Amino acid sequence: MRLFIFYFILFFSCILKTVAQNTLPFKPLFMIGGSGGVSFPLTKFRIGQETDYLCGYKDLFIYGRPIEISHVLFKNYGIAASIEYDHVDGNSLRTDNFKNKIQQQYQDNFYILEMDSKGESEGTEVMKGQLGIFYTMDKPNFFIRPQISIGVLSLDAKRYDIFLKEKNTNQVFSLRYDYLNSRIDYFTTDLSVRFGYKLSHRFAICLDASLSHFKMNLTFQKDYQNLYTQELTSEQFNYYKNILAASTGIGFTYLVSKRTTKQKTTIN
Amino acid sequence: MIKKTALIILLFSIARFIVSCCYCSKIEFYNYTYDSVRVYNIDNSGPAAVNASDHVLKSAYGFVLCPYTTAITQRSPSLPFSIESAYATGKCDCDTPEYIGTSKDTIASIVITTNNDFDATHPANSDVSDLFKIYDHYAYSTISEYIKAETFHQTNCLTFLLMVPPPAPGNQQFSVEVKMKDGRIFKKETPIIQLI
Repeated sequence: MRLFIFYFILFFSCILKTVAQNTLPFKPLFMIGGSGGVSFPLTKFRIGQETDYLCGYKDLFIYGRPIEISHVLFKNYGIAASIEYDHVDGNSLRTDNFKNKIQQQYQDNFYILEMDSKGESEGTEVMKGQLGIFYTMDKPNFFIRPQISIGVLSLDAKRYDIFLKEKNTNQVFSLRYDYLNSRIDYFTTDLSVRFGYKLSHRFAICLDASLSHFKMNLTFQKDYQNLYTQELTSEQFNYYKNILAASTGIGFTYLVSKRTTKQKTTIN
Repeated sequence: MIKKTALIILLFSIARFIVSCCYCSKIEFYNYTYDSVRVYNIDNSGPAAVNASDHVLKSAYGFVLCPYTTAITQRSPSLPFSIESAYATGKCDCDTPEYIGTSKDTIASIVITTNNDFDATHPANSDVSDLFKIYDHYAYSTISEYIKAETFHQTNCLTFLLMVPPPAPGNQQFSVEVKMKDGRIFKKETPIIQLI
């Protein structure tokens, strides 16, 4: 999914640049940049259950956008594409937190014999690809650029198989955590404003503020089974919620091409 | 011509000698038979079963049945081109090989009887096999299910867990009868244990 997002944005940017250069009456402004910052939760993703640690997402996180490409296409309107990496808790930290939570719940009556995880990606980054349109207000020393974007956020989740032995008995239980959704990629929308201060005619430092939203639709199922009697009880943990976050960050923009009117040339 | 033939035979013999000296078999195949069995009580109240002392919680009682076997024949793997290994030379620096045994007789049934009154429906000398399960890697099986399974290795020790404890505490002893398919029967009693 991550590769798909990357290639999609790359392909989209190339097509757009080619189309713009061939059809518009002026050479578009082409800018590249990067930024990073902090995202604060407005609605919390965590529900206070052990399954919070099975999902590779975090309420408060640092983000980085190593690639931002933008084109001013017509007057002050343009399009932008970016790839964002959200830094979430690593696999080992999530595993430790999950194990601690399980131990708190079961240590009074059970011994934890074995814990096996089966997961997707186990990295510390969540990838988000975005495409947006913006309006830029250019002044001699600064610019302000409000932008609306859509994108795809790709999360990872883990499964767990745990074996418990009841203290002072011959009974062994299995505890299985599994996510029921086959896809954990979410459509995102972002509203952002970028304030840029021009240090030269090509280079500007920027201050970003944004509001982002996605609708999480993730369900974890917990199966608790007595392996002797085969008695099974199941419980579901639903993460059906609108996740709203505000973020702020700093970055830079570098102007690759300047706006110049195309001249028609005729070859005699 | 005679010299050439003699030279070829000599070279072949030298090759056989070198190969036989340096061949290390990683797997040794053998056949075995049952000699006897032994049983001992276990205390399964902790995270893993341990040898029981003189008393055990009745809800965490079990015993282990281990067969004693004897290797009766050794089957040596043959080498290509009919070159045989020289096991008697002892000159090769070989690691300890893995032994894979094949049982010449298999277990037909295992019956557990109680020597003392167990509960109202199981007086002394009655069959209590249905109160036990064989436990192996997070799976419980009945005796018949387990010994018929393809994964059952005849040389492994079997862990029997008492899944229905007696209603009252007291001393208990169980007799375990292992019937082989060739008709032989091995019978052992667990040490007397106080179930509390």
